[in-house]
Amino acid sequence: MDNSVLLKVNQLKKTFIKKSGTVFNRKKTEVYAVNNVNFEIKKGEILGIIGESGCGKTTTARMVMRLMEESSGEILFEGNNLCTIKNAETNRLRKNMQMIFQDPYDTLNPGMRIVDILMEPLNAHEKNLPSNEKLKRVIEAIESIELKPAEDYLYRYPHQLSGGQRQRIAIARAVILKPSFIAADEPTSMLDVSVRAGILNLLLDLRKKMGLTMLFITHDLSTASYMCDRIAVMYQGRIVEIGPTKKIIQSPSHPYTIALVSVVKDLNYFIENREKLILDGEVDSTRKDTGCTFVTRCPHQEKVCHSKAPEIEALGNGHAVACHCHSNWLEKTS
Amino acid sequence: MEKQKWKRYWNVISSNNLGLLGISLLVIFLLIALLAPLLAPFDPTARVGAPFSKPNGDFLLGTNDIGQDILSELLYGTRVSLLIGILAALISIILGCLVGIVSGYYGGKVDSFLMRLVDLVLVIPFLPLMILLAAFIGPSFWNIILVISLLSWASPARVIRSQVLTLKTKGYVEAARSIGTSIKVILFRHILPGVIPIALSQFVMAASHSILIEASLSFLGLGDPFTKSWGTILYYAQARGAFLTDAWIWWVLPPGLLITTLVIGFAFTGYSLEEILNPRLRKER
Amino acid sequence: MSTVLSIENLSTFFKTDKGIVRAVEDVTFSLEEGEMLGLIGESGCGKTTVAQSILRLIEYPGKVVSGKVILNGKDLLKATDDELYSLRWKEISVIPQSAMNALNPVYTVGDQIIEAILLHEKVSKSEAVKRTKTLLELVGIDGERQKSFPHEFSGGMKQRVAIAMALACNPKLVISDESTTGLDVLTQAQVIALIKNLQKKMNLSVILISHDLPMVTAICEKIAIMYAGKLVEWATTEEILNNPKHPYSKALLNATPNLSDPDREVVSIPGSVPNLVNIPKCCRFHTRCPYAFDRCLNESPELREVTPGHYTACFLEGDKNG
Repeated sequence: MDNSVLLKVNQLKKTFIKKSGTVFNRKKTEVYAVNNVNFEIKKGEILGIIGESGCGKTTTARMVMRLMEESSGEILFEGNNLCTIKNAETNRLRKNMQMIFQDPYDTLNPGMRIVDILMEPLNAHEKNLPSNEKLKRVIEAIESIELKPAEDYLYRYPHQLSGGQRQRIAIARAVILKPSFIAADEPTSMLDVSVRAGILNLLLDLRKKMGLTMLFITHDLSTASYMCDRIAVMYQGRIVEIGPTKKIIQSPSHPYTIALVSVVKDLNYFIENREKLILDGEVDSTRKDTGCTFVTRCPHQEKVCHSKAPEIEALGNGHAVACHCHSNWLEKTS
Repeated sequence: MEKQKWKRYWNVISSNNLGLLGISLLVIFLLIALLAPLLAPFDPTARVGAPFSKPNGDFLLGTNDIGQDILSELLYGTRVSLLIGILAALISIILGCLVGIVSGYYGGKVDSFLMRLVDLVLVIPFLPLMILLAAFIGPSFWNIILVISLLSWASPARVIRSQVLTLKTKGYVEAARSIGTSIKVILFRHILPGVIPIALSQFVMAASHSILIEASLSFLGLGDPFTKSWGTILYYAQARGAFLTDAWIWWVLPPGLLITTLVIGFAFTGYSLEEILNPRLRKER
Repeated sequence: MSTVLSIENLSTFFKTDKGIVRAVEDVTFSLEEGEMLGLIGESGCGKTTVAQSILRLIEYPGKVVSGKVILNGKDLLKATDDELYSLRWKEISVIPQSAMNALNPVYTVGDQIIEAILLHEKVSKSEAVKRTKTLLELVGIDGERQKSFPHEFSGGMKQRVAIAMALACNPKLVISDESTTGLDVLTQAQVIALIKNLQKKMNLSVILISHDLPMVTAICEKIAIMYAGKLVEWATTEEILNNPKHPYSKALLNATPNLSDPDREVVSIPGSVPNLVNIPKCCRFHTRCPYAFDRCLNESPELREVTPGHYTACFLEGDKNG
């Protein structure tokens, strides 16, 4: 594997079995939560996955973090295939990969003090460290997330902190082991705008200081564009477009991305050109493996879109899109 | 926080009249059990008076068929009844916690298997089996405890499992997993603290349950003949015809009242413990 | 243009064990006919309480303690229950935050709209049915689908039904309380576009309550910004965007990432919102304001007009201009 790549995800799939019918006539249909997802993250890079709720972005992150078993595919982290190695080995690797969760009110145990919460990673991976050394690390970690003076926070309980402060503690817990990789699952979506910016800047700052590599999951394109070097757009379990942030925002190539970018960039544009960008159709929730998942809402669909799922196709400069006919209609519209 | 928490629990219990009454009753019985040698006027095993004496200045509750003091018997019987009740409840709660936590946390086939086992234990007709078992393995102090706890761990296991299922979906449990914390530590640090309050209230319920069962078994003559509990006293009273004569007032009624009071004490404590678990009250921090 | 709604010095307090929460204090703004006003602020700033006060939906332990809410010349806070009943739906209606809860799952959506019409207007049933069909078509739903049940619609379509319902009795004023929160970005854009188009078509006055600054700036003519129970700035959208006066408005704009300008650094506002229980007289933003001085700690700034049509509550601005 290329040495500069930290995480590589290959043909990752997660299916759920949906049972229907009676006991005597049981029907089982497979529902794809994540379908043939491929991406890689280079060292020091932030890759954003954006998409609407239920598109499979969180499921992907949970599989990467080994909180959920994949149905098939491989996840290569530092050259180890996380899907085949033993549990003990995975746990050893967790030292290098940590996660930040969405809900700061739920992610810290309400019965534990901040110091105990931050000790937890050290107790799991640095058992032999003397306890005063551990305390030093905890204080360092609290300082690194800009809560000062750190000693003030050590013996508090989570309910004595604000949402933003809690999320900072959650970040401290993730970076205290000095990991190389962090998966952040919508870390700011539950926070107010005024606090949100602080968390985003903190993450960018930590990346610079610690050389972190990040998988950043969000539903908000403007947040993604602020944070990420590259963006992958997910729709109904598939990556429909992936590329450098600038490319995605300036020249989106999948009809879904185009709609998304134009909505966020300029709502007025969307209102006045309503006819042009109609996406009225229902979301296809059955998610069968045949055909393009976006076909129910796509304004440019052709016959082939109904029968065959589009493969992701490189457009050059690291930009790729999964659409059968993007070349046809892109020409027409431009 | 730990101190505050217990203080808050105490506030809830003490602000609740029933709870306070329950706890006072339990404390009184505990004192009686501990101080039985001091309180009892006679050695309960010694023949100290004429058989079948009515209550008089020497023997406040009269004597039994072989001339032992009934009051002393009752005071010493508190020890046995309470001990059997608490030990049996403890064992069944520990068993229930174990099954509940394992079943809830691991889920899948383990869960299915354990829960079917629970169903099985729950649907078995309770008393007949208990009588059968007690008769089969023979009456002794430990056998009684064993029989009671073997048949009463199932319903606590259910309750605890459902609590574990809720706790398992908490963000901090998932966070602990992603950190790489071992399962042992997750269960002890994140799951168990959330289970303990429920286990406590289940324990109180189980204890009152066990005391009743012990009394029933002993009354049927399946109790340990060498450690006389309240149930055993009732058994002898019945066997010697006290139910049919005036003797029921001092021989049958007192143990019956004591059993009822103790069970009520446990039940009231249980109610107030449940109030602690009520999320509406827990919110007010 | 005439003023449809004017709110003067509205204060709504809540009684708690710990003291009185001054959830909304001295809020003043007004709304012209055919205008869309965005009422924005962070969670807990009192924007929903303002809406509830306008509609007189505040219940114990809350109470509207002072102020006027004048709708077409009539003070809603003094109106009797009967008057209020006839005003709701016909003059003023609400698009609720979550359409899933607003629609009764056991009735067809058509029946629910028809019922609302029949309750408030003296029309025949067949007329109401006809009107329901037009209403549904107005919001882009096939009129025949009035026989469907709520669960047969997707989230975005339920929100459209809720909009149709709010418009059932041709109200002049519509209050939309976070009615697109929770929808996906694209669906949200559709619903917002629909509200905007209907506003233009029917000359509605709309109060759009939201925490989403970019969305509000895109479709509202005017914006009112609330912070910790106070209205801090009220002006046209252009003024707010290009010439914000209040430090909080400036900070809020700087904290919001913008897709058109992704390289600009977003800046968070240090500190946190003050506790509104028994809050003393002061500028409520002073704990986080970089320009705060003595006066801000002891005195509460009033909302004043600093340039024509641009109101703000800040001592700095007041001093400069008068």
